[in-house]
Amino acid sequence: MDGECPRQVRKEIKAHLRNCPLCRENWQEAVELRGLLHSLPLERCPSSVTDNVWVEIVGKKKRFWGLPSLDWRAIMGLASGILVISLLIGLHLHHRPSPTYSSDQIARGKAGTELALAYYQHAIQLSTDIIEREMIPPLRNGLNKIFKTFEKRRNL
Amino acid sequence: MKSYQDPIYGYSFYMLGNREDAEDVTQEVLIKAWQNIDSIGKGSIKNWIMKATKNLCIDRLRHRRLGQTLKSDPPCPREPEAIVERREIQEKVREAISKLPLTLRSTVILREIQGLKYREISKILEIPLSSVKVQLWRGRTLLRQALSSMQNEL
Repeated sequence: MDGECPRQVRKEIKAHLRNCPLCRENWQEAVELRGLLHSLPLERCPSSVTDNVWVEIVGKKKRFWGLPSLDWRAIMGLASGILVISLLIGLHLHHRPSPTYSSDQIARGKAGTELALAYYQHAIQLSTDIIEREMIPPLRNGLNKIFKTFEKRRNL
Repeated sequence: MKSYQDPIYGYSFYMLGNREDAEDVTQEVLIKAWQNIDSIGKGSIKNWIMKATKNLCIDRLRHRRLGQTLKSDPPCPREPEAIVERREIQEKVREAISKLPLTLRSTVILREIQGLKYREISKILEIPLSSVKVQLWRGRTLLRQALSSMQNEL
């Protein structure tokens, strides 16, 4: 009746039903019942349910994205702080008045400026490293996760 | 999501017997499926969803207060007689389904209303294929008895 019997078994059942009135009666009752069950309307899910699901999902996504941004802000703040301090030291050393200085003092001043510039370059390198190491991989992973999720959602 | 919402809702509606509970279960299952989408295998989403639906329905039925019965939609007074009669028959069938024992009810709904194959039902209910056949046979027999006794009462 459900179409799940092998062909041979189906043939045997049909042959039996032809010869057995009791089984034929049972069979007919079963067919009638199936007709009744299949006449039941297909229950459709109201659209409000899926709307609520989306609201819930979007709400959760916002909370999810809020957390890692705190770490990124801390890293950005640290990198910016190092840059600003380095710039201030560099500028201070570079613009220091030196008209009455001797050639030795001027040479030391230049060395100081070079040192400050070196610090400044080092700070830039350091912040670039931090960005590449700490921010780019989570961002890449996050994007991959989003793409995968969208891919699965499309299949769902 | 759209392809799963109706099967979840339909199963929950026939299992729980009212629309509010069916809506709650559908919402809960869809949210759970979304949250666990990474851990669910691509080919087993349907099974996972129906299994979760079945478990949630059983949980709800266990916590449901005794005496709470099926809530049906009131008939519309302007409907033609034939439609009213058909609705009444459908109501009787629904009532008969709701009176089946839980395991039999679940199997009958999955097969007769959702149209799933024996193998799929066996995976969702986590029972052997032979048990699916036995439960289906017992469920149908009980339904036939219930419906014929209802007919005799009329």
